[in-house]
Amino acid sequence: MATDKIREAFRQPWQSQLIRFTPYIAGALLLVILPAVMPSYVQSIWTRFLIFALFASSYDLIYGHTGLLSLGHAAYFGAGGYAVAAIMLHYNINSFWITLPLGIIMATIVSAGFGLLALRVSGMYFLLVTFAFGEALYAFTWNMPWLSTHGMQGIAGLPRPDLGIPGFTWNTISFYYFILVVFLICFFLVYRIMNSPFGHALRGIREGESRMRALGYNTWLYKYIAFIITGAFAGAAGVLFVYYNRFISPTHVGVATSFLPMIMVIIGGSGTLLGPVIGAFVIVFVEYFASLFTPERWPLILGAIFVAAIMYARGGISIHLTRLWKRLDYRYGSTKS
Amino acid sequence: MKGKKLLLLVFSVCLILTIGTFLTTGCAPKAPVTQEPIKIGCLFDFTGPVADLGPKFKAGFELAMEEANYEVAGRPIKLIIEDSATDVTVALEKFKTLVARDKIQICVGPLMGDAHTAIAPYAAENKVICTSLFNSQYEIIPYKTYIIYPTTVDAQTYPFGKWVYEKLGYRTMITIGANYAGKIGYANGAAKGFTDAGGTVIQQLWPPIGAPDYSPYISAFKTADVVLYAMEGPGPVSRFIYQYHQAGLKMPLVTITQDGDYTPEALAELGDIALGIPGQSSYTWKLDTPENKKFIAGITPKLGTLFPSGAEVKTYTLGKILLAALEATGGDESYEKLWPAILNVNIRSADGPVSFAPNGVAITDMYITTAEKENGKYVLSAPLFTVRVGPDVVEATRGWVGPK
Amino acid sequence: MELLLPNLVNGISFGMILFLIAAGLSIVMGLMGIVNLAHGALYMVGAYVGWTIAVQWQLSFWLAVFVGGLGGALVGLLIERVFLRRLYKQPNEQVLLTYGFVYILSNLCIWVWGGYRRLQFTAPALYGSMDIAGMPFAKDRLVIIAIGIIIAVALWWLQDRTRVGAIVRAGMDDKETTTGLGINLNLVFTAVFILAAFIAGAAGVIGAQLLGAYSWLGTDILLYALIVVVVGGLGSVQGALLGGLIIGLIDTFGKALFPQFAMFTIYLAMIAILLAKPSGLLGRKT
Repeated sequence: MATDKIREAFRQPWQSQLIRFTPYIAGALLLVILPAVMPSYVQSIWTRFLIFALFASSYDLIYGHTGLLSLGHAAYFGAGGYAVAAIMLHYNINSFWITLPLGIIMATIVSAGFGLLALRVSGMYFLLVTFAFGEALYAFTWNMPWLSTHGMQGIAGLPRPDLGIPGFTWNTISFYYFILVVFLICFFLVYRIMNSPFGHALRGIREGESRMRALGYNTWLYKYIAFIITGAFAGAAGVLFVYYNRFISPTHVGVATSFLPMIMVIIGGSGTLLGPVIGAFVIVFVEYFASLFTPERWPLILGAIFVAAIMYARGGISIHLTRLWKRLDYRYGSTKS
Repeated sequence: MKGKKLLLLVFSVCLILTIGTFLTTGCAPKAPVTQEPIKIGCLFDFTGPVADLGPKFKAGFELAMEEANYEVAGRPIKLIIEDSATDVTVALEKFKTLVARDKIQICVGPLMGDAHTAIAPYAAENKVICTSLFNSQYEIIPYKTYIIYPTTVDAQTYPFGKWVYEKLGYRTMITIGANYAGKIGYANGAAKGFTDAGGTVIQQLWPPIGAPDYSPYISAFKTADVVLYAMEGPGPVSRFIYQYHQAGLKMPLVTITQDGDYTPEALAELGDIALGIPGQSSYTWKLDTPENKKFIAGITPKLGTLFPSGAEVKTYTLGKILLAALEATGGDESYEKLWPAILNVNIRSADGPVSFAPNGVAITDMYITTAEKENGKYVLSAPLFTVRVGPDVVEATRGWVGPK
Repeated sequence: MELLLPNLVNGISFGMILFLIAAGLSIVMGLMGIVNLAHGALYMVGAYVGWTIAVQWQLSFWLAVFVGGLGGALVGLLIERVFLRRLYKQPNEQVLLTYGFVYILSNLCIWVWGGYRRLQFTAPALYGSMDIAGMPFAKDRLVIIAIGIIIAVALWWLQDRTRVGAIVRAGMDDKETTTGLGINLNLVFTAVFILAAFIAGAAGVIGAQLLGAYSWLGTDILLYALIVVVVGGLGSVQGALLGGLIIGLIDTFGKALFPQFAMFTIYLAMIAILLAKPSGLLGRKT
């Protein structure tokens, strides 16, 4: 069947082939080829974009697909990051193969704990509670001396990860490709989850929880598992972030950081695969350009974009893009024309 | 019809490519020019708890540059000023940007000690010389990348602690300071000085940075001869004095970094309740030296305030130090040449003489001041006491163990 | 004893401020189903406006309270009419929208009033402390407690003893029947929202005696307000009052007795309530 499909694909007129492949060409260009020729400062921004794309995708799982508005999502992002930073600070363990799983486990534990309490309530209370938990973790990381380099709040001076490859040293572009690889793997996992029966069940819960319960689904368990999975991926993003930023502070656990995946998902399009990635791209680069021209007004711009996106760009950018591709695809027709 | 849609498609692909090229060329490093300017990055706080100080720091540094016509040893000087927002994360991000995008070799600020701790590893790696603005921690010294001026936090207040015991005659003390390295250091330096002279510190409280309400802490005060407060900037200091007054407690207050906190605006806001509090200062506008007179003449039109406080003069002196060192290296701002040149600087500036110990910590004078009312305006007084702080004091302040 | 009385006064006065904000937040949540995260920002706007009136223009403090309330009400009107109205029946989007406004409002305040904190201010008559039974008490705190009690009584009377209050409570319990009775719920929604915003703005000025005005005041106070709502329960004035007092006292005594863990005491209270009675102490069943 697969080979038939491929043969079928290659028999299409060259226009439709172009359309079909354009997203992949664009993706390859944007993610693989372009960064190689840019100055290191912009490469660093690209890395930041990937990390936040992962963070936003994890958030979309709980918000876009399950329909649970969780504020304070940076708690899991920060939990993963802090776990790694603390390990490096106190025990000097820097092997990536240890720190990544550790960070993910820590984030999973935190999200399992918070989720257990938060899912006791629903709707508005869920919002409040997730918000308060995020702030509680902020207070925790602020006040625990063990979680800080001496003399400040937060952990500084962290090195790049140790891959266990002898003689290997990092530079900006090799780090970028490293993050790209990890991102693609995680992204692929998220994609599989979103398209699995589990993912379908989540969307069912989003559309109507009582209906799902009537069908015999244990909706609480599904929501809880979704919460934990999303925490795990957010933690992974947090681990990558710590390696990118080489510094983590309570701010990264707080409200301001929680806001970012939310706005990325809204702008890019919730409940879609590429939406969070597109949203992350937009926000990270708008932030970069804003920092060049009006750094003081950046929060205002961010808030205004957010409000505009909610009011007018329902479904986000990715919906419009998908419609565009679909229309073009239809024009050129995959049928014999 | 088909052609038009195809055009649209090709156009979108080209758009993507264009964006990419734009990013590439927009950020490409400029071609080298013979008399390229020396780039000095400045991280001042224009927002956040100590936002009143940002414009003052800026004005002081700019004055020093203006006096040298923005050039040294034949090379022009370019300042790149960013807002560090009194936030470690922001400060670190901005610092990384300044180094990666603008290729600065020298960085002035930020103010907060915890930002120094976060930035120092980067600075050392990239061989960027940084300076503190009011203080820094002892822990930064080994990085050999920070000029610590006027001196380390603890050393700045150690002689003051002794003075409080010896001259004011108090025997027991309570300290309350903002809970971060900078003010903890200041408070503990004074505490150690007080203890070494024979006194006893009976209680130490540390409200968090930006605490809006000090009343719980004030109500937890035991009874001592004197209360020493060390809040993070003019705003919090004013708030503390106000709330202390509202609470009606009778213990006398002393403080540190008074030249930084007693800005003319803060004093005007506080009014009478600010009078009569002795404090350690690294500068007072009433210093009677020719350098100070010249500085005041230059800075007053710039900011329009009644008198300059510590903030303006610190960056002014830092500017003078950097200019002197760059002059000595013939305009070479590389780390290898500039760092030793800075250590050899020996000048007199508006706030007194400045020279350096080999580890990068400055040797300067400290003063003790208070607030007075003069012609209906609230101002900082002339020095009640002057002491030179050098490496011996820096060493003496190590090893504070806490209240008995 | 030396520790108890001043902290009691501090805790209750802080609790009254929290009550004022939480009351509006809670009623709006109960009635309209919207978590107005910008409520804290309305408080902040009121505080800044009040600062301009009382400190910059040196006018009466009580005028500042009123104008601060007006400021909050105006911004609240704008948000409700222009934005929230269009997102009818989309609670998630409404919440997110209000969150966006927190950023906008706080940055606008920096733009207009500058990036640094404003010192606490109060009416000249309330400056300083007075001695009661030999101990000094801050005058402004005592007045805050008095104001809080007055407003609590007024709101409770409005909620339980007037027709308007009955309509609001009916709207919380059963929207369809209420509309079926011919009541224009949209008007009620807007009126309640504006009243809540007015109270938040006025509370901003009243609270400025303790907290001053600064650009992240919106988020700081929002956190407290949300925890008060969780603890006290949704949709009633009594719940907001009880929650406010509890949180105010826990926070103050926590800071005085355990300075290291001061920040956690309120979260512990919240977690305890979540485990024991998730709908809050006096929450209406939703």
